[in-house]
Amino acid sequence: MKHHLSEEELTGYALNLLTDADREALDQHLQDCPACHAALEGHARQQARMQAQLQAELAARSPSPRMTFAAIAPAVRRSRRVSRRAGVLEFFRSYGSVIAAAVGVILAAAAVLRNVTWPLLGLQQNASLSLPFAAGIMLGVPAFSHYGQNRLQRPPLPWIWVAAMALWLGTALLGLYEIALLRDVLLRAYLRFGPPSSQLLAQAEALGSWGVFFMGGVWVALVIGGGEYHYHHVGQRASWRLFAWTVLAQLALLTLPLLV
Amino acid sequence: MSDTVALIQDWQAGNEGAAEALYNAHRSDVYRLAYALLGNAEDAEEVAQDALTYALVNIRHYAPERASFATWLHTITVSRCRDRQRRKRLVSFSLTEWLGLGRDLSDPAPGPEASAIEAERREALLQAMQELHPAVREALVLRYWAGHTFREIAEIMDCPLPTAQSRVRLGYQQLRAALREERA
Repeated sequence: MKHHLSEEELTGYALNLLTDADREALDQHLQDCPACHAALEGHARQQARMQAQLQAELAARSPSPRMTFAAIAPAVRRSRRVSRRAGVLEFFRSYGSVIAAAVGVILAAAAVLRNVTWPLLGLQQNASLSLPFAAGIMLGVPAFSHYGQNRLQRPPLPWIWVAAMALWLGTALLGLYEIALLRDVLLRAYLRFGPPSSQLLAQAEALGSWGVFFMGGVWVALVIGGGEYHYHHVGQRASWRLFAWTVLAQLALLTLPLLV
Repeated sequence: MSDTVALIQDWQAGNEGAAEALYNAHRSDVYRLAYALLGNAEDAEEVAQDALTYALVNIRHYAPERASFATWLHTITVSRCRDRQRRKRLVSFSLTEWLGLGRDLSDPAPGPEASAIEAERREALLQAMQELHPAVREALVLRYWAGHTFREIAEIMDCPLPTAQSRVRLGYQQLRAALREERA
């Protein structure tokens, strides 16, 4: 390495943010370059100074004598009494979330079966919006009841995994149903452009097929990408938030047939 | 650490003396973290009391295998500080704060052994930290004051590891630039 280290490289080195390979590569340069070595030492000194100053400044700050255990003891006692009862309620709430998510999955599967698969097989013609709506609401229960909850504030109980997997599966199934729903919406919207004719119908159906192809691609990407994201963030605030927004978006999409 | 675990177990069994001992062991620590994030003694004290009450009441949610008690407490404190900042931004508009009079960063007098210049520099550092973005300030305080690892910072801030790393890096660079400007 001939050039001097950049500020980014120096900061990364000083803050211990580099991978072993990157660090080794920079080490070789640092051995031969007194200027970069001095710059790195400057960063190390600056960091040590900041750390010492911050610690000294905060060490000089102490809570006032009013901040005592006696001041919170009544609230702690009261809340703890309530909290014991709340523990039982929480047990039901936790497992209630899993049950709601499972019911959501069943309803979403039923919506796909009744509204997509049966018409394809010629078994049923009239679609029902109540099934997917009910599925969305049931999936919304665990997603919204844990919205904003941090993983460290509660241990990752097995039910969190079960609820997260059920939510992922339920939203994926609902998404599958919504592809068929959006195709119908697209067809109906296009057919409004002119008087009914076989040519217009053929154009609308071609558009619908392209729509299904496009939405199918988006669905696959979202299901795989979302699954990976939730797997890495299970039980975290970010995962609950994404589930909640997904369910909300899906419920909003379900209202489209009412508008078109 | 084992003392803390024993105290937690005693408190879970209903011994209020253990709760008081836990409170006293972490009182200053929680207050200082809240102070570093909020820059105001009154708010810091209120948030610290709130965080400690929450922790003691919800002690059954603490899982020792996941994080140390201090890390768990820091998570609660950071979360409460965010709530306080959010509420303040939404609900109130304080003229004194807008004019910079609401902050009491210079309240405590430096110890007799500390030189005036050193005290001034320390105060300038805390002032400069208050100018940072709240998320960047959180990361920096957790790193430099609490000495948490990047992984712990990511857990406390509930963000991916690279985000925690880049926030510390950004905070360091911004603080460095601000202090350099001040000296110039």
